[in-house]
Amino acid sequence: MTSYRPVTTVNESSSLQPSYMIDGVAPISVVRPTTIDELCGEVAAADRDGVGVFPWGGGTKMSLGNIPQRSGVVIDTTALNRVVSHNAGDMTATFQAGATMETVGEVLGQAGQFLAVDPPSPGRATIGGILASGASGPSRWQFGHPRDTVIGMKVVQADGRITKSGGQVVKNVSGYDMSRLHIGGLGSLGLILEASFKLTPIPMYESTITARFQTVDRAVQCALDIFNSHVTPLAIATFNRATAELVNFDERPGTYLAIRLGGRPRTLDRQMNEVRSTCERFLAIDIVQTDSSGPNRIWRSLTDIGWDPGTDPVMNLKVFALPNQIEQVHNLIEGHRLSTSEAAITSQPGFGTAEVSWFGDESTLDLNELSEIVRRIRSELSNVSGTVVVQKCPTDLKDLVDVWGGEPSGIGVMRRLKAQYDPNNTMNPGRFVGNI
Amino acid sequence: MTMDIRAIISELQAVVGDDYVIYKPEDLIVFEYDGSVDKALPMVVALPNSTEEVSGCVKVAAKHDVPIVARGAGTGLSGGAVAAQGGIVLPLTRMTRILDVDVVNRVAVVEPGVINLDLSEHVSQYGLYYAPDPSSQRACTLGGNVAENSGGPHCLAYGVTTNHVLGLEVVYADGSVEWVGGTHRESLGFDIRGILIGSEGTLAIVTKVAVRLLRKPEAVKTLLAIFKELDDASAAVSGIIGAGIVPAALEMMDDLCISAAEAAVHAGYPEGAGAVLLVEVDGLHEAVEEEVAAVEEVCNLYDPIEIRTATEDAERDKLWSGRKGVLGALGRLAPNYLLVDGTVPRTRLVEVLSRIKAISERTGYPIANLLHAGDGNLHPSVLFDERKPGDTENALKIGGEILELCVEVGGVLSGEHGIGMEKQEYMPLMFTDADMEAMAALRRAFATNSLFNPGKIFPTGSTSAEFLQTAAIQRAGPGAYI
Repeated sequence: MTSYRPVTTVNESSSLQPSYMIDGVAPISVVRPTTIDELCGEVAAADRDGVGVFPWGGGTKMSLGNIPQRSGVVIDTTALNRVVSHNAGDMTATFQAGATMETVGEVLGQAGQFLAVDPPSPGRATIGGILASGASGPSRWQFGHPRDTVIGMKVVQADGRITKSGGQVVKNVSGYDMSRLHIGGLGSLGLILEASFKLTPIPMYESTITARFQTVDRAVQCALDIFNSHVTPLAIATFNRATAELVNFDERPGTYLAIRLGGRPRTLDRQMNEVRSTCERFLAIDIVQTDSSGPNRIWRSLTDIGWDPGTDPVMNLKVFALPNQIEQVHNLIEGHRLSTSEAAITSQPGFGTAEVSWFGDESTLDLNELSEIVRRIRSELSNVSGTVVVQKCPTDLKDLVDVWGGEPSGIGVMRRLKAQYDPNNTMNPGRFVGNI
Repeated sequence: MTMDIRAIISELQAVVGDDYVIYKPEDLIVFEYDGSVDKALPMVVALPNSTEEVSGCVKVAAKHDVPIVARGAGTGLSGGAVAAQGGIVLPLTRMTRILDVDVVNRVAVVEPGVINLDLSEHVSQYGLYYAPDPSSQRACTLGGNVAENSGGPHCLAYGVTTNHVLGLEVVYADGSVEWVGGTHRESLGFDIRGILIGSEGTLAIVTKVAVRLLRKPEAVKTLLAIFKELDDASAAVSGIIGAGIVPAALEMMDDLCISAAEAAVHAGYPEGAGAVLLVEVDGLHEAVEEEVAAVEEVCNLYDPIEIRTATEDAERDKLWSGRKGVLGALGRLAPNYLLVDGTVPRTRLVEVLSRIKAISERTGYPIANLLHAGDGNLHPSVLFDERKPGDTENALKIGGEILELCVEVGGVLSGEHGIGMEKQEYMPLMFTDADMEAMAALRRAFATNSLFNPGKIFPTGSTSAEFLQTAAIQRAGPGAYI
């Protein structure tokens, strides 16, 4: 282990650099490779020397997962940030892992296209990190999970070998779809080096309608009504008063519903009218329409809440349920007020997912109170087969609760996959589901 | 008949019942082939009717160490359902129950033998449908769609099978049963569901499928544009995509296809038509009108002979008739054809088509081009006559040359038909030894020990030489097309 020598050590005294601590575990070293060969060499060396490898992109989601089983080398991917190719005519693009979402958006935007994933903190979130964490935000509802946009991938395995799968075309069934192992895999089977995506044209016009309802059920039922209509929103989110206040949208009581719409002029008009009248039918107290400069603000804030450095929560949960269970999820979580703050909830009714953040003063925290909240929400949601993942919390809480909420069906195959691709347990050791 | 085969037959009979085990050679012939050129006779066929029976059959196979090949309707075009190394073939065509339709959450749970179109017809009463629509959708099963990650003409806008399947109940090689994914939009852990979709039945056998359903579009409009030159049609495809339009379908045919289709189905294509472009847009009335107008504008830039549009079902069917009838019609041009399936970046279509034309001129074999142009997925069909000595081998060589061309321009070996037995020898064109080793490791992780569908995907060093592709078209039913 002592034979290990980093190629580049980031100056940690600089206030601009992250500390590269993961749940209180300090790295043995930090490297920021500038070539893929160098990166692969680092991975292979760590694997040989028996130390862990911790891929690090923008660092926005490093709170995910279990406490590392051991320390190792943090590999900062942000120097590998090239736009490898953007074929506007093919609506495809390939990026290195360290490219930030902001860079990606700027490059693609010039051709009137975008990548339909929507992570928090786009200025820092990297392609590799977005895919490894499987992060989907609320504002690209229509386009689904990040995995649905990936058409090809290059990864380095724990032994330093580079493998690729897929390609640069939008339709491909040549061999196993290996990228699936890595999207949402938290870097446990390899480190993503490059990914190719299919892109989406930016709608000609966009607008957002936000409505406030007296009750949760009206807001959620209205959302589901729109979800089941011919209207095709770009995004639908419901959120509670606490969230509305945090994103500086409103502070009056009620449940809020935001619908993002887009298209050519007549298409957009028709959808705006229909959504507005649906909101009225569900007795919205007030309806606000925001113009083209407005939507980005509310959607950006809704996505960033709980993740942006400025809004660092004490605890953040993600709930996976079904669309018609979202009302219950809202009601149930509203009841779990932390002594310091109420829960800020944002949900995607069409997906059946919700994110909840509690804010407050960490110094006065009672870990037992937090673990009790997690335990009770999990037990109350078990009757709707909901899953609750703790995405952000004080490290000590991770000794009291399983952040993943137990082992999913398929865990046996998952362990065997780990044994095949990372037999020395080098990649992000212990952080994934079931301590993989 | 050896003792071992007798034992296997009687053990399978104990699992699925005497009536559902087929072992007489004359009865087995039906299960010898699928829609591809490949053939192999299974030792025995068992038709299970439940997950438990599938599990029981897998245990029999494991006990005797014989291969087991799950099979749907056998419409596949790459040999995925052919028992390459003999053993047990397991058609799942008795498992046809639609177990649950959750209208509010737009999820259905079905057995693998449910026919693709039957699901859409069943949920039509709720205003819903299942989006992936492979050309054989009247015959092919959802289990087969999962195995091959099937697409369809409308996958341009809506994606392929993997984008619509939320969860799978599967039987592993040890006979154990488990759900991966579920009815939720997201699930925890590695995406085992995503790995299994498109794995051609080599990793596990699917016994239930949870799919998401889409709302049927309010309006559909089809536009048919006829051009003098293939290049003009290709340029129009780029123009449409470049204008930020993603139609539901964007199909193209060349002059050979046009003349065959015209002779067979009298689609009314004018004299001198060099290429036909078929564009379908769906969604809100307003969106359809606005986008078709934009598509028409683009097409008009490339000197079309004629543009036709239709919104009513009957009229739309008429516009589609030439396209849908073309593969059956190719039989008019030659006794046999080799249908190649590859994908290239859309922007390389013009170049690739002209190089295919050059190959045709050099070799003297006519090649008819039929394309899912929006996806860059092309189906050149090499026309030949198997009765002429050397013709079959030459057609095969030309097919290989076209695949090499696809890979050379940044494309792939298969857009939608899969690798199976047909293309396994070409895998090294796209993948390094390390890539192939990573795929082999996947098979090890599922501990299949070559039990499930051996002799597929990975190169074996052998090449198949028989071409019976017309059989696929007949079996897919009337009106089938690729």
